[in-house]
Amino acid sequence: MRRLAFFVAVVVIVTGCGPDEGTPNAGEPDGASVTGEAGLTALGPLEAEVGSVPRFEWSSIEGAVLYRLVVVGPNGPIWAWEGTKTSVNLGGLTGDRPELMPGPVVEDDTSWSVAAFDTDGNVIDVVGPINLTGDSTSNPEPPASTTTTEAVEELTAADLPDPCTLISQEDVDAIFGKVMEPGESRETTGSGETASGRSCRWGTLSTLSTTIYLSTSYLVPLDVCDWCEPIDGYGDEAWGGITDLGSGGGRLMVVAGDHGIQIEAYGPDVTLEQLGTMAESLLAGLP
Amino acid sequence: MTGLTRWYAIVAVIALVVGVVSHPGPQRAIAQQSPGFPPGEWLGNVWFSFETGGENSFIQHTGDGELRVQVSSNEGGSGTVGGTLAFDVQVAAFSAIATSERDHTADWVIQGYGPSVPAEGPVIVHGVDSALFEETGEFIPVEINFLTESRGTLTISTASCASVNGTFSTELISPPGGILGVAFTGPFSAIPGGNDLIEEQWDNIHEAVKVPREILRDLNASPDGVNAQSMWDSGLSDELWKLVGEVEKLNQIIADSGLCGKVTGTYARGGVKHQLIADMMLAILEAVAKSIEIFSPEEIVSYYTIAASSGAFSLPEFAERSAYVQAQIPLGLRYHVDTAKENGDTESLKLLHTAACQFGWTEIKKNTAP
Repeated sequence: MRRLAFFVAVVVIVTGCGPDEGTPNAGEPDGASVTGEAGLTALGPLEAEVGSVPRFEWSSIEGAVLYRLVVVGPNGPIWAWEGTKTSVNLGGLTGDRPELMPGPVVEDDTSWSVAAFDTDGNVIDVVGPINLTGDSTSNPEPPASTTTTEAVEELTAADLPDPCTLISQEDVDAIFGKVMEPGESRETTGSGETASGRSCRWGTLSTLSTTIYLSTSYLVPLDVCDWCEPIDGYGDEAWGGITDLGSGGGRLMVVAGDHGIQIEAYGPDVTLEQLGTMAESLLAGLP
Repeated sequence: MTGLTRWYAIVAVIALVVGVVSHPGPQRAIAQQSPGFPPGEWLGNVWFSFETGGENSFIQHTGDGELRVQVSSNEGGSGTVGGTLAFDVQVAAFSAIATSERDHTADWVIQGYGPSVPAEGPVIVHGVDSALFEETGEFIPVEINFLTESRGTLTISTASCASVNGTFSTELISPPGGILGVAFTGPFSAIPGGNDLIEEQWDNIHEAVKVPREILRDLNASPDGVNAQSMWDSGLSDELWKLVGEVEKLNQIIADSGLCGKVTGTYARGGVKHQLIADMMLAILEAVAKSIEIFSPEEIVSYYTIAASSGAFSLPEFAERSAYVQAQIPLGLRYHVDTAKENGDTESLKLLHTAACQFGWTEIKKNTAP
């Protein structure tokens, strides 16, 4: 009998942009600088006040012909820059920004990182993210990851049924009222919100597409999508919602016994009922 | 069917193709404090770009507008705006049963104050419409030439010492008593006038805008829609970076001009927006999100970086589109992670891992860690 063990892990700070997730290659802090695996050194700043316009500096590194600086705030990227220089002011001005001159500034939970690339566009090294408004070596993870219920899976993708076989092509066409391209099955490697598993994607020549991810468990809380809410009637627990972002779409996430199911559909007229109907078919077909 | 009825049938068909479609507007404008034009001279541009449809029908609006206004100084509030707005928009539309090609030329007067400034004046419309006659299978062309009066509004979303940004929208522009109307909407940006260096750099930005706009328009107009390979091969990324650089130069010139030390009051917030670039970048990333498989990881990360550089993810005008793109791109990149793993493509994995670290794509980072 397949077993699934759960435990609660408290992730305090996840560091690391380096090859080894366990090492703090946000860089090794050394007083006033942070150095990456290949020697790229972020010279500063390691901290800055909210509202300020800092100048970012880093060391040059052999073989690098391009540097990419990214500054990320609480709501996503604030600013980015690419070039050959080894220092740049936030926003790109060469001198001080006049007091009334608008432009990007450091916000709460702002971090920066710099990456170096060779002539072929390959990555030589990366340093960061360096949090300017908190711990200088911490990586600003989304709040949800600070306390995460994780699953230790003993199932593998090979143990799971092919999601394309759990719901017929005719049913998918009927649910969405369109003739979809045949479902494409693949194994997933633990990306997205699901653990290792299998997926099936149906598309159309228009903007409508839908994908089922079938996995052994969920790795992140189901409230990971901020437009989702708890929904009764599917599996042990389900969250879902419809968004009008872009051309619109929706998501339904279901935990059922040993399985995690995520159904996504993107298109202008997707409804939660359509996702629910797919979920029912999947749940009925699970062993 | 009599000749007259047939003519009305043509009119109705073309009206379906052209008349009822207006630009949905780039985004809902978010006015934080009902900004208006600050006092002084301002010059700016409106960019019209709209495409919709597919293999069987297609509508495209393309054009530019130019505005120049003088704003009087009113104590404690927006000055009275007076000036001109000239624009030229081409409309192309086709379906299985009708086609239309029209040019709209306008030279309007702007007069008003506050966050919504009206503009009005004559529009000259000329072109050729045609409709299919089923009996013969031929398209019968009809020349279109008319002059009409119409109106529009400059709706300001942000205003600062350095720039004024918002949206310009027209009412339906129709022939006198007719039904063949079309309305236009596009983002506008204005910068302080009367300074040679600033105006010269504004012209440079105009030149830099042309190439990426043409690339995107041609791609959107092609029957296959956006083509990733063509976008990359056309050097779109380089052209966009060049455009970002020109806007940075403008920022520098304005910073050096001292203009932002002279303006006071409620106009001291907002930004020198890369409004047009942000709009283009989000349009590109929306297209990428829908067909992420056909774009390379390198290309996706490049466009995402330019979008961040242009402020596309932090401009309030684009909040909804930004949220969509920020959610969809890392979701879609799962495909490239899987593909790179299947192919043992360590360079792509490293590229994705680095981008994930820098942009905060938690799951991609986790799944690309060596």
